[in-house]
Amino acid sequence: MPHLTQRLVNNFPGWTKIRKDPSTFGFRFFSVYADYFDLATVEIKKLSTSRNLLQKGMGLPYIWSIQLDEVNFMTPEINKGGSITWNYPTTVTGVNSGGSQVLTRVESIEELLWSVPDTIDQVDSVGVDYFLIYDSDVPSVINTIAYPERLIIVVSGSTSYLRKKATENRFLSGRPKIFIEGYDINDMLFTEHMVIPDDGVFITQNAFFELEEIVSSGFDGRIQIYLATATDYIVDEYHAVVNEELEGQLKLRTNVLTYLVDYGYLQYFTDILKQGTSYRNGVIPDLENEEVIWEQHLLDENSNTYIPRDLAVNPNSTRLYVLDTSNKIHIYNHEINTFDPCVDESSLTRNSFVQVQPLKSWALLGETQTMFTWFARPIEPILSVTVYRRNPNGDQEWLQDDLTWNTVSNSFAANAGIQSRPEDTWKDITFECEFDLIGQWEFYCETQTPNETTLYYSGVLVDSLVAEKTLDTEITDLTSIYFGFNDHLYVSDVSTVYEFQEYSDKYLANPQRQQLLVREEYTSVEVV
Amino acid sequence: MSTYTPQRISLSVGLDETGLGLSLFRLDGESLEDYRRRLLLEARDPSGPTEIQLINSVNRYLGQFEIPIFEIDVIRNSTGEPIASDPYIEVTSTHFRIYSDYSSGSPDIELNLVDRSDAYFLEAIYTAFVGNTDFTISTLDTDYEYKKSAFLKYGNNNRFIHTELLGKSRANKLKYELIQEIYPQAELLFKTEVATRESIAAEGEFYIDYINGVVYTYDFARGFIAYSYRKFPYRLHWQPVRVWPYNNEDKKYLYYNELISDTTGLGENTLLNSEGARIANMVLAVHPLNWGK
Repeated sequence: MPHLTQRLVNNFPGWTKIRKDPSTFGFRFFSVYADYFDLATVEIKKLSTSRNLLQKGMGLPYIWSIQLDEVNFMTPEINKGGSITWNYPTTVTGVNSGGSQVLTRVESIEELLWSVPDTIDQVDSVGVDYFLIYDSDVPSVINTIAYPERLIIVVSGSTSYLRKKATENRFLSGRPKIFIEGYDINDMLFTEHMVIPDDGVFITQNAFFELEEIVSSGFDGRIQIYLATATDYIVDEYHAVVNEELEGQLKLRTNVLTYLVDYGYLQYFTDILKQGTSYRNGVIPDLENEEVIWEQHLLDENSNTYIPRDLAVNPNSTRLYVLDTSNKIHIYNHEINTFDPCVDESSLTRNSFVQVQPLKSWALLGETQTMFTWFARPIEPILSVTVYRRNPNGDQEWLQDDLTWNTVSNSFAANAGIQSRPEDTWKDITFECEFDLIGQWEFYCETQTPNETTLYYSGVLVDSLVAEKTLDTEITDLTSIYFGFNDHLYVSDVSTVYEFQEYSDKYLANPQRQQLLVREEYTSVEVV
Repeated sequence: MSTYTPQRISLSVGLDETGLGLSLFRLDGESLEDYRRRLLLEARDPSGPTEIQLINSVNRYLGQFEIPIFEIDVIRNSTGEPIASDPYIEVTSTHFRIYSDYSSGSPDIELNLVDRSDAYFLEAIYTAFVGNTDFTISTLDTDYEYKKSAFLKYGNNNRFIHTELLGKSRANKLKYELIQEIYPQAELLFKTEVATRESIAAEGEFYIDYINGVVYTYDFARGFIAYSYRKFPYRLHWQPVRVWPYNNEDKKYLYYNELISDTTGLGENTLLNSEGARIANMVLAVHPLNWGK
């Protein structure tokens, strides 16, 4: 389910099911269009910053081309009906000083440029004396920066955010800011002005070689500046998240289930209020300002669980990279999974009288969630209500009179006969469900009235994300992962930062020009 | 099976378009990381026709980067003021000199950067500071020892601020210290300079704390001020392609051999050597003026 499906369905009235329930047919239908919407948003974001000198994700500077000799020409076969099938090379092998590597053929230039890396290789390491460069609690100390890099700024504990107004706070600037003076990657003195809308985690645009001075204005929180560190969350600059009421920049956080060993999960969330000046004013008590949009379990490429430690978004491919406690890196195309059609879809009725509703459309493994029935259309007296569920294995259970689940079929009898007013015939019930399996849980509510029987469905997803690739760093005790100023992948332990180069052994065949395009640099390429 | 040697194809990226705007193109085979560094240099310190702009910009056009080597700072007394009375650093075409009192005209350290028996390698510059009571030196590059000193970037630590706004106050702390000269916009406030802050007694009188960079005036200050100052700490850079002005007096140590002076009896660099002649001929070939006519 693309991140922006909800934005499309938010055009429907608030009472509609499509707007509230991602398991509906309509929601799933719009996710097809939202996929393109999502892709376009990412491309627009990249294009809008492509001429910015300090952009993240500079792109790929080179590819390599091979003009085939006649002996290796790709020949066409004309099928019945006139379509053409090309005979591509059997084996393409890239050879360089490190050995040889069989290349995989891809179908498009996008896949060639930005496919998942096949391998990573450590190219450098730097000893780091200080990861914490500056702490406003000890303002006189500015530690040395081991190598030029963007810095992570953590602002926390603010009680008030103020800004200059016509008659108030004239001593402040227009917006809460941090001014950071330092030397850049070319050893030139400059100042970066960073707007701080609210407490949180920020990353400088520039790479700093040395810090000279840090000045803040408009807020009173603690400022900590790090070279590389695992933070509470990261901001995914390329995606927005939307729910029924609000939209915001996607923020991502990894977490671990405390009641299940080795089960990590990813949390999609955003800020409710975007500006600290909106609520951190010393009068209104600070509120919990996060809105969780979705949670999903993280699995490696073999669908095994692990404990995540830190995460980063690749600025070129916009994929999510998660570092785990066993020093492996898992690469994801992170998005919320779309619901599958429910088993009883063909039996669902256009109308429904009593509905079954979850509090939220997702759950974590082992979580117990409260659910309820809702007499949405009290226009006919109810005779009986049957609530049943189907777990991801397809096992069906019915809600019993004592509000437990059992494989024995059960129906709730209505309160009164057909002469009663409809609203007197059914009193909504609240019950609980423990989600002990990953996958799609289906909940049905069958309502019998004197004139018709309706079937209502709502789904809850215990969502999981399987890694496209899992790569081993072969370094121990890693603590953080990030993408550096040069777009390379970096990981760090408590004293060293390691730089990695990603390699994708792919080629694209262009039979019209008898040409192969190769993503990586090889001294020679063997074609069979 | 056939074996091929792949041919590199440059892909156009956003930085190339930015580079077009800055007239700085990506070199063949150059990484985007290096290209961005060059573009950042051009954006923050544009190339131009002045001497300093030429010195700063040549390397970036050749895909080379200056390397920060040393940082030299003044040693300060207990009140935070430099011990040296008029500290000054210069790197000329062939020499490195540092003065604790520039007005005296005699350098505390003078090193020949092109003489194998003197400071031919950077290591000698670093060791020359051992025991110095006016200056400290720290290394910025771990691999400096055997880099040739002759590639030290030409320049000195005189700097000029074109505009700095004075606050509405009788005392204004300037951004930099070790001030040399000031050029205030509000001339009526800066008519007569007095010797001490306490001596300011009438309109138009002012006092400058040159060491700490503080401007005191009789009335509330206003307008902008321009000033020159000595930059400390001063960073020495190593240029892969070194640029210096041909009219620099110290070039005689490179292009002229020693002759014994008739008047002083001392060796002086006055005899044009073969390298000097070669360069002179190159200059005359493109800019002969009226030479020989």
